[in-house]
Amino acid sequence: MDGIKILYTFELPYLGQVVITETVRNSFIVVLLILALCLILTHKMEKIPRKMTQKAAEKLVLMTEKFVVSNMGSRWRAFTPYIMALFGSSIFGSLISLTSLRSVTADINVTLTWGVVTFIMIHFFSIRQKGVLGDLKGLLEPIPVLLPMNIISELATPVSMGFRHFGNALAGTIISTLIYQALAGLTTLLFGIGIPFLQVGVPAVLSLYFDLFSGVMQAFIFCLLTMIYISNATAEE
Amino acid sequence: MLKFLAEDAVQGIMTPNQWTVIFTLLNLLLVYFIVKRFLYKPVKAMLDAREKEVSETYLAADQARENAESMQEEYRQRLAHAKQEASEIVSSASRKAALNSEQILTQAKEQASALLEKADRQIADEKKRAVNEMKNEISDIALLAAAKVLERDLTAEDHERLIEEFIENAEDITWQK
Repeated sequence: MDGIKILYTFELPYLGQVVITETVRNSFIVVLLILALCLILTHKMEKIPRKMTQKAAEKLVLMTEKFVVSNMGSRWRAFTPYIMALFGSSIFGSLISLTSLRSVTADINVTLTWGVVTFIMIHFFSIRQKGVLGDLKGLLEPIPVLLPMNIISELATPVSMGFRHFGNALAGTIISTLIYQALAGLTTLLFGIGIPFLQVGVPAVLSLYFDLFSGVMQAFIFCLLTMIYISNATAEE
Repeated sequence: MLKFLAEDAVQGIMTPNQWTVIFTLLNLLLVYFIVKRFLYKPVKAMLDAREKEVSETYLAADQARENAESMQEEYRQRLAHAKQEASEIVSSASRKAALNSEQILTQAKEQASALLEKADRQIADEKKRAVNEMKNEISDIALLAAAKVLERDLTAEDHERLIEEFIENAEDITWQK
């Protein structure tokens, strides 16, 4: 298991040395992919949908909106684009590993950043609704003695979200690498030839679970947790 | 300024990298705006336009149905009115016809009775005239017969007496044409 490759670095005035890693490059690819997908899906839409792409686009928007509304209530309808963005970034960031590029989500910097964004949103919306004191008062509930626990629990939210996603994506990558190497060893052991033909096909089936399934699962969980935390923090009593 | 690094330059998987964080934030923001601008808003606008059109169509259909219903009601009323009028016309016409026929009948009856009276009168006149003619003729014949029988002149008194006798006898005979 290699580390994350640093592709190149450059100096910027006042900002210091900028480091472009594999993760950053791949996440740009993901952004372009999402842009292309959005443009293809909404290309030449009509009032009466005839094209599959438009039907897919409508289905996607309506499904996500339903997902958001069922978890957060209809007043959070405008939150749908963010969930779509998060879901898209996460899922394509994980699935990019299917093209032998490194997963974007297998970098703690990425998933932790997303976790911190969720954390900031939780408290931004909470403060917007209840005020700073109202938000801080939540730390004293249900009894003031629990204050330290509550502080830890609040801080643990982005950390747990970030590490969960990171761990899952990384585990997928590690297992895939292990399987590749194990299969190469197995071919040599069983048939005594240097061509690792068992590497064909078998990893694909396994990566269906480790990359595809867990990638979708983690994106889903991340979005679900984001919505639930925000909606809990802003719940109206 | 741009410095490519050797192939083996790597960063540990847990190493914090503020640039990765910054680019991740920027990319998330970028994806958010892309999704909002190029997917969410156009699709929502399309769905809203469709919903609006559907509701407008429904509204128009409802109005059309209401119109049709009111027109149907109007026609039904008109039809009922027309039927009533027609029956009135028919009944008044038949009433008039009955009146007319009665008048015609009475007129005809009157005329007939007038004609009958006239005919009766004529017949009576004719009869009288015929009787008178007959009397004259009979008196002539009687005179002639008497003259033949007596072959002599009779006195005026005999004349008278004979004629009276004859007529008296003659009146008892039923005359046939």
